[in-house]
Amino acid sequence: MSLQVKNLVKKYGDTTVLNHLNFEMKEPGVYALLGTNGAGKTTSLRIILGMLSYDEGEVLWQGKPMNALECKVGYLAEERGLYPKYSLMDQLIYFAKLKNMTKDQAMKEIKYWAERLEVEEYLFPEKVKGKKQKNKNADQLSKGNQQKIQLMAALLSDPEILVLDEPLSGLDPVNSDLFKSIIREEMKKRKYLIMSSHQMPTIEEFCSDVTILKRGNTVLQGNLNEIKKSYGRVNMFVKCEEDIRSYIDAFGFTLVKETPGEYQIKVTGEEEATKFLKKLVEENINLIRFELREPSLHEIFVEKVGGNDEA
Amino acid sequence: MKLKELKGWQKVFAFTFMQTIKGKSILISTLIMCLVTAFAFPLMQSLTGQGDISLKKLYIQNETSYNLDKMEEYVKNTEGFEKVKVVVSSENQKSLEEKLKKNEMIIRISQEQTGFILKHIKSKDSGIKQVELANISTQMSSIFTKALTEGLGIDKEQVDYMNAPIETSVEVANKEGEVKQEQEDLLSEVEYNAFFAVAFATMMFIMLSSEVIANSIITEKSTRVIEYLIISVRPLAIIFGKILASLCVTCLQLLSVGVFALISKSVSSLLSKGEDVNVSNALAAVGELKESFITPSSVVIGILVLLLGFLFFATIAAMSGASISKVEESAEGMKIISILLVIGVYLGLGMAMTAKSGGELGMIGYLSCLLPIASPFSVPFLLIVGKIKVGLAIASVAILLVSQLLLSFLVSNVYEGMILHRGERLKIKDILGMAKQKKGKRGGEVNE
Repeated sequence: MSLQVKNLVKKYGDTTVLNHLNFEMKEPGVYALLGTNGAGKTTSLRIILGMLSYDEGEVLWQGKPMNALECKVGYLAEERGLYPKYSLMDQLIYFAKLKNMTKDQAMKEIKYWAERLEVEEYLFPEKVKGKKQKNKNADQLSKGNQQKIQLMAALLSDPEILVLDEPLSGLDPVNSDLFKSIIREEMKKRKYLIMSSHQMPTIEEFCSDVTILKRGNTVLQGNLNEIKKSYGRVNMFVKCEEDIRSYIDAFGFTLVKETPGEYQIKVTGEEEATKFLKKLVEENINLIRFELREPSLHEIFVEKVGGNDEA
Repeated sequence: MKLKELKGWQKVFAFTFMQTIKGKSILISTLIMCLVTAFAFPLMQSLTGQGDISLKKLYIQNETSYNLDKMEEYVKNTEGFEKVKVVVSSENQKSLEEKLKKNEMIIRISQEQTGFILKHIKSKDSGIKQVELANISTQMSSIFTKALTEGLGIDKEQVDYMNAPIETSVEVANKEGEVKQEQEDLLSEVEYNAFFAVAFATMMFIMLSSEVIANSIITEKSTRVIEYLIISVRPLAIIFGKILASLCVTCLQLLSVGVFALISKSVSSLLSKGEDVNVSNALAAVGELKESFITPSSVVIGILVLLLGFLFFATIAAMSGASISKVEESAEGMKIISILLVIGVYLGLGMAMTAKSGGELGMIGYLSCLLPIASPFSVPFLLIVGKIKVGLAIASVAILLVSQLLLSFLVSNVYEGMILHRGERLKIKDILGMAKQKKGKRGGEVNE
């Protein structure tokens, strides 16, 4: 089983919003689509989901052209959508039925996920003085709880492919952890997850492979660990009591950021960094912390798409 | 546009229908319409003074030289006056007036050079309403005429002969000396009034349904629910499901109003002891229908035009809804459909006015029968009353069908882009621009 996106091109008139996007998920896991606003992430996700048409290329699922209407797909959109005035239960049953589930199957899944996402009180309110209470409407819920209902809608049909567009945005730390645990569960179930997020630590936590888009073009793609390795350990962090700016200049390093007693430095290689450390020791610099590491995804992202890229 | 794009419309229909009828706004508006209808007949009855009359005693004072003895009998035989005590009095005017009590009246008949005067006299606290007085006056005039002719020795046959209908016709001679009979008006006064009622009822029906569709789409678009829907069903299935749901909701509303109207009419009838309520000229027109025009084919074509017209406006409503992104702009979105509806109805009214003052349909008439925005208001009525030929109605159906197909084709091309569009309201030129763009392929479609 695999998901392949081959040479996807999307144009609006003369504007190309997606230019030959390629990626493949040979194994289940989480794939990240990254980019600044307007880079083409949501367009890519919409094309994969069959919401938008495309001009060139193809999307293959299990070697055949993917039709989102026929395979099990779940979607959590960037901007959440629920009918504000309709009952949550009615909406969830409707979404499930659109995924060809029966009402009984839907109810069973809703019960499971309501418990798992801790929203039972809104969907199965307890009786008050022996009277059955109405389940809530979407506009009676907080933003975070609405997000839970949305995730529930995406998971109800037990999808093989799960597309999550900014799944953790706007969540408090507790609910963020809850969502992460569900993503991990889905990974264990060997699902294919495509995630788009601006929270780089989250991407690093879950994704093995990434594509970074800039104005519809792929600027970086591949396995996240390999990408990081290819950059080498060039990020140095030094915390000390003395001023070491003269040493940094002498070694020809770039001072990226400086706060009192702390220096973030871009070095030219690991060997030079080791020499730099030796020099500091020789000069009796009182070192509190010395760290040499690969660049973070955040740093790679900023390097690749930084600048005047806001759309 | 492929039929498989409609897959799943039943689920959209069921959900939209159920949620719409559960909605407070629909419940409240239906309730208001039903209540208005429920009170309409008793109110009309009260205003027109029909039903039981409050008059208990009627004095007839004949100050003419003619024999009006039969008046007493005729009053008692008049429907609604059976319980009225009639007294033929020759008492002094003033003393009789002083005797008048509540629910009593004097009819004083006198003769002048110019004719007869029927003076109605009631006491200050008579309790007889003005509308009832008008009704009594009409009845008395007719009773008086009847009694007078009989008193004069004119028999029934002679009266009938005098009252026989007089038909007039106008013939027009041209310069060559040929004489042609001028045609009768295409629509009678009653048909003209009935057309007004039917056209406005149709407009209300289409307007209500269109609003349901447009609002439903605006809600889904503004709340972003549409993104969840279109990964499971195609946009055309969503539109189709919604259109059918709104049609059913509106039919249900009208049915409820109809049931309430029947109940109200029956109750009014019972209260007025069998007397029927004078509803309107529109209903009177039904009585004038010649059965020969109501054939299965005319009924089928009439319904077809109505349904196609509904579908046509509903599709435009769906596009109007999809053209805007915020609920606050919904009135702006409905503007185009309101304009088209008004133009359509006015064309129909123009046709009716022309047809009322002439024997031919005329240019406006043909436009109102053939233009898709006007034909749903004109064709069904004109066909049922036999004022247009079946051929013209079939042409109207064909034009509506072609328009609907073209509109559906346009919708299938632009709807996807429209419902995912965010921001400013899409104008007609933006929509046409979208339609001109090359349509790409979608997931699951075979590469070409």
